[in-house]
Amino acid sequence: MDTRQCSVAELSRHVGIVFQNPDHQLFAETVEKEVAFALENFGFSRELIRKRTNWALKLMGLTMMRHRSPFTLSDGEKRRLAIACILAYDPEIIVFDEPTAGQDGLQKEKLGELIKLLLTQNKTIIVVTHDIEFVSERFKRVVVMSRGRIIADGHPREILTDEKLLISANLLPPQATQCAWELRGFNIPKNILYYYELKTRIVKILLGMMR
Amino acid sequence: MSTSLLRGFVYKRKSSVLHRLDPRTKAIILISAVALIFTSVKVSFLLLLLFVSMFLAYVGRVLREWLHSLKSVFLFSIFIFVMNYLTVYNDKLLYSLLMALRFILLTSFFSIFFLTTNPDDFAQALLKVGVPYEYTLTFTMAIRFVPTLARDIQLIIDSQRSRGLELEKGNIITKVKNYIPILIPLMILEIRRSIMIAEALEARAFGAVRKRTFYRELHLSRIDIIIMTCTLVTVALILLLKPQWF
Repeated sequence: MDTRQCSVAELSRHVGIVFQNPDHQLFAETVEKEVAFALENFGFSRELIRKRTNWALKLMGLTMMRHRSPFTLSDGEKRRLAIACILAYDPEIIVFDEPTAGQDGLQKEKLGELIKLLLTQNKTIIVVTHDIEFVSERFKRVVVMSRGRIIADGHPREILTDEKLLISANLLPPQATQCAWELRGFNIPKNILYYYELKTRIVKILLGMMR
Repeated sequence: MSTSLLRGFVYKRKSSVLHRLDPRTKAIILISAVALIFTSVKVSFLLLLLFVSMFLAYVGRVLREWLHSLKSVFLFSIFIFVMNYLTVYNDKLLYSLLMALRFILLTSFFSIFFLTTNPDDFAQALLKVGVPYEYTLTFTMAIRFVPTLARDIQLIIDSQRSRGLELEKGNIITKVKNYIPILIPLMILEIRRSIMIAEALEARAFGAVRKRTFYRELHLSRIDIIIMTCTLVTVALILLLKPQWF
């Protein structure tokens, strides 16, 4: 598919974008109608709209609020509603723009689980973010951009533990990696990425000391 | 469309004689020009004024933007000409031509004024002639937020189009309806923003004391005074003597 030849409306059937600020898109009288909006635009049948709306609302935990006005929701609920609006029409590619900004730990965890679920359904998920922890824990491929250019592309282990690269992209390493760097005198490798790796290394050292 | 018309009126930082003049001087020139435009009854004189304004645009290095604003009102001035031609009985041609020319001239002088006057300076000039600060601040903020508003509109259009909204689809009624998903988020966003701005202003002690001071004060230079007097004397002479060619 040549994206230069298609209209935005045609592309949006395949690519769903969850924008950073839900206030840029919420307008309907009720949460339910908000979710149905895209489905109506794509000309789905009434029965299918009802089904998909119910499914998306349930998935994002908004069923209880379906008759409320979107503007009375909390910020976290609005974000979930924005995601539900996209999930409802089931695009193959879903782009999240800074989904973790202003979210508490639990919401972030839930979002991570949702992305995991979508990945098992063979969707392509693209997340634009500055949240290094979120990336290091959840994703298998990282593309680093700086000044409008791609400067690195690969597995988090090679990207997020590369000190030079991180500095040139104004990024901090994940906390586990940072901790490993601090402990470099104790024979801990520099490319530690996950907490469990760090834990086993430290436990090993402690056990060695006790012996 | 609306932003392209604005291009002929929005100030850009440049360095020219006209940019350096005090806004009050430019306001005097503008008011004199408006007085002449409305009292003159000779097409030749109005054409002369058009040349004057072109000269001013050249001196102010804003020729291209000036031309742009003229181009964008050209169709409307033809409309004015036709409407006048159809409704007036005596001296049809002369009268309609005068009206259309007057409209073009007004646009021309106002466009040059706003193109070469920093909104902040203009607000301060208003303050100097006794307009309360609340009003001048409203004016500068209105100008300041035009680009922000344009960006918001673009973001909202993008996000609704990504949900399959097609603005150009359907007959006239559906076309109007298509704009509802754009207008509602826009209105809510802007109301919220204005509340935030009000809070930010208060947090920075807006209105704490009655008499505020200013970091930058406007001063009339000698050139300002010379130009001001020359303009005023010339216009007064023309208006009082009413020569043949006026």
